Amino acid sequence: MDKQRLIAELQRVVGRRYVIHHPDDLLVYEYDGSVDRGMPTAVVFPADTAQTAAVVKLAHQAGVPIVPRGAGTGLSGGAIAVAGGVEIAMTRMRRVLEVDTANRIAVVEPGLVNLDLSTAVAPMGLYYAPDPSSQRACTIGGNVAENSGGPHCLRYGTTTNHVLALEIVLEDGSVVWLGDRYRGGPGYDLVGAFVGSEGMMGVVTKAVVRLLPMPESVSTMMAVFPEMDQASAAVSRVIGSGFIPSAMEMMDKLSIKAVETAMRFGYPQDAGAVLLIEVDGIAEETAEASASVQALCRGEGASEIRAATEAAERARLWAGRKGALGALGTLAPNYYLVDGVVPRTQLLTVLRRVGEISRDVGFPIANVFHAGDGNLHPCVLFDERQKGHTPRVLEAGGEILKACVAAGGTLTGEHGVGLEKKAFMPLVYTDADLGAMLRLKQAFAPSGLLNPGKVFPGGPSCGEGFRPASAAKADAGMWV
Amino acid sequence: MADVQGALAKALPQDSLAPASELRHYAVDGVTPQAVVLLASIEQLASALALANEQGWAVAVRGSGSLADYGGVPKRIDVVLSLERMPAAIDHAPGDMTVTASAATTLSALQETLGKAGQWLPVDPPLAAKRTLGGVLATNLTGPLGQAYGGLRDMVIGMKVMGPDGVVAKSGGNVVKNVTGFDIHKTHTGALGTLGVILEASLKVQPLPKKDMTMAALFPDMRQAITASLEALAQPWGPQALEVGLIGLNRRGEDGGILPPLCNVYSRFMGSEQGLERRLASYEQAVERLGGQARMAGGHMAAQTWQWLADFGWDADAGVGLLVRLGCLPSSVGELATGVEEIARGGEHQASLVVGPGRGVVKAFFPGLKWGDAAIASKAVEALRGLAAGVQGYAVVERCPLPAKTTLDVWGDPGSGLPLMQKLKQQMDPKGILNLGRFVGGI
Repeated sequence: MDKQRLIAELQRVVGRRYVIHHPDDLLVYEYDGSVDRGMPTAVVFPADTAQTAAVVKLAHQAGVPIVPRGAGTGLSGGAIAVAGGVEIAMTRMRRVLEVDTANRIAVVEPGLVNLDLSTAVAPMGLYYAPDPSSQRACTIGGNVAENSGGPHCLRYGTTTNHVLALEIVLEDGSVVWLGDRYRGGPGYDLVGAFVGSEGMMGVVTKAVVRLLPMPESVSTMMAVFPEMDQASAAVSRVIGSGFIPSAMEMMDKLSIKAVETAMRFGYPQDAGAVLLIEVDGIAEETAEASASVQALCRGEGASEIRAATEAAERARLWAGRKGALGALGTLAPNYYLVDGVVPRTQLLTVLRRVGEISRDVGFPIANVFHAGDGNLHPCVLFDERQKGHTPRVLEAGGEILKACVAAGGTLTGEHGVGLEKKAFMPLVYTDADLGAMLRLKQAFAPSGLLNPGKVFPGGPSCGEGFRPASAAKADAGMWV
Repeated sequence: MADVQGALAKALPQDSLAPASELRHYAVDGVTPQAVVLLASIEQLASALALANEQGWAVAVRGSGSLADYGGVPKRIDVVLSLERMPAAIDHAPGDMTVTASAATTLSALQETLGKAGQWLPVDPPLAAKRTLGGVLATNLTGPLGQAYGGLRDMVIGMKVMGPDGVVAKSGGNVVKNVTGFDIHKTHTGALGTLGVILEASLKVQPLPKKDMTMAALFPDMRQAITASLEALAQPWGPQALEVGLIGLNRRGEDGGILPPLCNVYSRFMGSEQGLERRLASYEQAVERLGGQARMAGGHMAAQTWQWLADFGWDADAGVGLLVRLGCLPSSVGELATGVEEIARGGEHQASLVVGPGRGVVKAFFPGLKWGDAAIASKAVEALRGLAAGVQGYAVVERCPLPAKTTLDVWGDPGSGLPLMQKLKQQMDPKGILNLGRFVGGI
């Protein structure tokens, strides 16, 4: 089928208004939140499951790649049409279809913005726990594709622990339900296999998700330490004390400096590390956990501790942490955000290694991280306009990933493999391991047309070079 | 059929093969294998599996054998691969709150090791005291703790599995947050070994609760008990595990009259000292208000009670009988459980029920040899499936005596995902040798 005919057929399915195919209009869809890009042939916006299925079937019959897309905030290149083809943008399908308060379940469309779900069910005293940092923009469908996390996944788990069932469109256009509104029914856990499959197994058209009751009481604490070692020791003490905080975030000296310059948050001059810890539960247990955490932090040398239970005050404590990424612009014009994950106890070791890498490549690296689950986000600071910076930055990223793997960790804790890290997969998986994953994918999508070029090494990749993230992008309420 | 024993004897050390006189001990649902190999290493397992795959032999894998009969009746078994001699191995990282263990490790050894560092795996599958990690993962049956903690499916962070060709593949890793590659380990969890043989798993663990106390409550009838329980579960102070037991339906007394069944509610509260004070007091008040009587259940008795609830229907005392697990949404549990009670009463069947309203499970055990009669068993299973369908739920036959079990579809309809499940099976076990015909849809 030639391109014009395909576009005409797509227009017939969703209406002319909802097919973008003019090169000028397609430019915006060449990118997502990552550093890669790829030009699709067309971007289509279906209104419902039937249209989604028809679009997928058309593309499949035409032998053309199919790339699902949510809000396009992904950081690993998952929504990039690296081999061209039809991008299916799910953003028109963004309703909350049903909320079952008695059973704490919501049925939603994939284009629903993550935070909008929690906002919608808040009046019922419920919320949706997986809270990726981009939750003001990212969509549930994208969360399913990447198995997104967020600071509160320390205690409550990631997306895969909250998805009960999925209505998906397979590559041939057929529609099938995976899972049930409850766990424990007979059969293979196809939902578990699908979550995190990065758009390579099917297109989500509905999701049934678990909701949690809002906790009776929440206590947020911010502890400032003169040295990173002390903060790290405090993390270990808290974990060892038997309370599982609902969130535990850390910032290093450089990111603190950036936040202080940009926001005048009020951190002391000599702050070496900031720990943000949240505990929740029934009132008595929250109070007890909060007191225990504060005592442990003081015991490890915290120079200052602030605590809050009231919503606005807690938000103020979080603001420093959430402002970190946006504040990096005060230090350098560009940053490259790395997502690595290591066993919690290895964080300090890997951070020291990150410091060495920083000296080797000659760029400062600011660190913010989810200290509770070992997920680190070194931000390599540089200037893309300067000759030679970009390749050295990428090299630093690669070295950091190798350090994570060497410490018993792996390539990605929450951003996904996508295009960004597929070449590194052999660092953690053998051919046999990758072969098994490929067979799993083949069971769902044998043609190779669904989001090709992702996850597995080899195949099409971005040949256009690196386009680094700029600090300006982070201003739009995004943090990590 | 080629000489299975002979071919295996050439590939493996002589003492690996169980003598002919022992084979019947490894029968599954009355089907005796042609050979049983007791493997002592990964290499031996790989040799045995690769040979079986090459020859197209029907293979069944065995851990402790406690739940060997779970699943459909096998049409034939050529060789049982027993992992009873495989080494137990535990690598616990308390600071990371993760543990990696071999499939042959017993759950009790694992819990003991974790306990030394003040941690645990909050799972209570049936017969936990006897079973291996591999068996518990392959069957993925949850107990009362499933209400608050989900199942093993939510705790596994990595896994090593041997395919039918003897090749080992791993997925996930050793970290609690991981999106590197696809979660194949989710498909193996609960797959009854039909996609591969689990060798090792990494799991995230929890700190042991500071305080762990149980209350028991008596209610006039089960429906009231379930309603009251759902209300307690909706509170912030609600228990982390709650099971309603209706024990001894249609039991006859010495005078021939039918004795009333006992209806008890067991609630488990875990938290801090101060938290528990409030939880227990609030629960007691709520129970009184909702028509029941609450009392504390002391430490040792509490532990025994929870074990009994988790083992219900599978424990040795149960004896021969029909054990069915029904599942639905929590809001429908009252209707479902009452329906099961009515079926039991209507047929004058002796029965006991254990109901987990918070996790949407009703387990019904009907003791006695009469359930070996195909006509009687299928009538009851059909009625139970009809009930379950009425609340958009499911009914799985966990146990049933022979010959009735041979005539039953123990799993029921797995839903519209079945064609995908069949494709997955084809990809992972193309020759179809692993636990053939015992899973859903005849897989």
